[in-house]
Amino acid sequence: MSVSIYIFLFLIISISLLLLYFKVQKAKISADHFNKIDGIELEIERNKHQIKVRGIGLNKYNFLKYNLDEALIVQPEILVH
Amino acid sequence: MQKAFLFFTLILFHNLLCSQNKKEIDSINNLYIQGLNIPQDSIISLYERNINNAKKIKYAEGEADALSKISLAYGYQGKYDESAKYGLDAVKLYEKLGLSEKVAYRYAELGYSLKYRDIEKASLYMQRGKTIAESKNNEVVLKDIYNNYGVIKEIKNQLDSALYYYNKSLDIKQKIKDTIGIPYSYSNMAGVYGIQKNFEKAKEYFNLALIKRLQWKDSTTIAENYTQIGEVYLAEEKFDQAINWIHKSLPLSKAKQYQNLTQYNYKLLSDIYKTKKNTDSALHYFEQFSTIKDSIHSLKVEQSIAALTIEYETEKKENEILKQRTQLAEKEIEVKRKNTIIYGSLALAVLLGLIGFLFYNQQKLKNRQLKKEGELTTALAKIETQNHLQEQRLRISRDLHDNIGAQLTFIISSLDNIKYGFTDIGEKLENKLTGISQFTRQTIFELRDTIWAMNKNQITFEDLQARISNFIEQAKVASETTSFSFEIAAEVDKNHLFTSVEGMNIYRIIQEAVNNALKYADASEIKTIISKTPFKNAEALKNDEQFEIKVTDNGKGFDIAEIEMGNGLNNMKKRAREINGQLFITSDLVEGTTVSLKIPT
Repeated sequence: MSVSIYIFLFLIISISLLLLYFKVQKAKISADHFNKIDGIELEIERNKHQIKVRGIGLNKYNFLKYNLDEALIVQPEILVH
Repeated sequence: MQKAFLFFTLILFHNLLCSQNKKEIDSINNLYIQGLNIPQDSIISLYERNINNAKKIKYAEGEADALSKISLAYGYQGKYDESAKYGLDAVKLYEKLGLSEKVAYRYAELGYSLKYRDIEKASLYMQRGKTIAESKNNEVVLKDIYNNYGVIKEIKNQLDSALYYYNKSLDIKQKIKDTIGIPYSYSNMAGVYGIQKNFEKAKEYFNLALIKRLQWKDSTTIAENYTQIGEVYLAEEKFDQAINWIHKSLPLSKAKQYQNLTQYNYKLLSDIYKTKKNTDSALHYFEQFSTIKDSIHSLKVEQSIAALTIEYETEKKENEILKQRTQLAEKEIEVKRKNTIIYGSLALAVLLGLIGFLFYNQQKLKNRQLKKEGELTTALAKIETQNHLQEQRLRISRDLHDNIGAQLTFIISSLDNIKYGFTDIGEKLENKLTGISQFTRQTIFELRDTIWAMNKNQITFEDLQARISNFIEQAKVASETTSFSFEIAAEVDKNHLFTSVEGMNIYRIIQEAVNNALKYADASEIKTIISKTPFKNAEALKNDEQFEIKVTDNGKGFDIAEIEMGNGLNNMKKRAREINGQLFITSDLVEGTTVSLKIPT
């Protein structure tokens, strides 16, 4: 009987430790993943914004005034090479 | 993390096993060996196994306890040398473990067991036990040690010392209210006083013991006390009083069938009457004494036979019981072992299952995350490439515009300078220069349009509509006598997307058509209509739809066959071709002109 109790206690402790270990691992993996995702999403947003700025500029082109100078907005922060 | 977990599990498992073994060793060590009905040799081998088990798990206290038990067993067998050897081994271990109480007890037991064989050694061991117990001030141990040490002293005829230690033992017993032990101390002390011929003191202490025993109504010890007091009076040669006390003892010893005491009482009475020369009484009590002696003898024989028979039967039964118990115990152990294996296997299976499940889940999560990261990385690469390409194209366009635009402007400026600088040029040359200047200006505008279209991917129908409306509004301002209208049929999809080239060319064709109507037709009304019409797609062999953009005026028409196509009309046709469309011009001298552009959706 006492051995059974010891086995049961051993099982409970082992399960608790395993669950704790995997929970910590999961939290770590998720944190790394979300950091990476955030970084990529930020980059995508930055690119979208730059494309949007370019689009706004090109939409300003007036077919009657031929104001191409205003429409072509160069974004020097973009490294094209 | 995983290594630490494994280490912790091993330590836990080892501790569990050790604590289990310790319990077994302790339970065997705690057996009351005097009460065990198994051969002494078996007891010794049982405790030897216990010693080995304790050694295996390095359980020193268990080992020392087992050594003590073997020492005790050898003592009962009369093998005093082995008993002393094992006892001393136990003492050494206890000393090593710092268990001073057990060391003291062990020494005292050794000393007491040696009292009739080697009084000096007995005294030495007893002293050691006493010193250790005194250093720890353990009164429960000390009361017995002092009492036994008093016995040793009494044997050595050191009566004052014996009295001193009996007294010390008595003090502790009184302090801790050991009511059973107190009268024994009184009796011991009275005995010493008797030997010292201090009869008053002897009687006093026997009386004190008697009072205590009377309180418990313990007939056996009361009878002994009466006889002892009688003996004191006998020693004082106060025969009558001695006879009285012995007569008090007799009925009690008879009632309790305490034959030895009864016999002794008769013997004392016979001796007293003999001394008093009362031969009749002396003979009477001697006969009583002899009868009791015979009866004791026959009784003893009978009792011995009966006891032997009982012992034989009991042993036989006990052996059977022991055998059954052993079998039961073995079966129980086997069942326990099987249960342990089953539970252990189940626990292991559960653990392995859980580990597998958790690993699977973790891997699943990782795969999901990797997939998402992959998708986002691809999207980022795509949008980044797109953005960089657009930016590169825009910068090239900007350079193109700045360089070629500036050069074309310079050409216009130079032509104007020639025109105005040279007053003597002929009309023909002036017209030519003006034509070149206008052509160059048109080239600048077309360059700008092309650059814009190159950078802009798409234009929405709504945007194009807004730009055409804006143009119409400007035309209204320019020609107030003409009525302008711009209509879009309901079936036209407002969300349609044109390429920027399509959008720009549609706009320019409308612009050219409206400008021509204003310039040449002298129209009062100009209509611009955008609609959708069916279209037979030859390649796909199916009916499709196309946009139709019509610019209609009600002014002067012209004969298409006769008129020579100017730059404007040619440009319109060229633009229509660029966007895979068809341009139709119909004109009537009275009803006006219609320019129709059809492009596939």
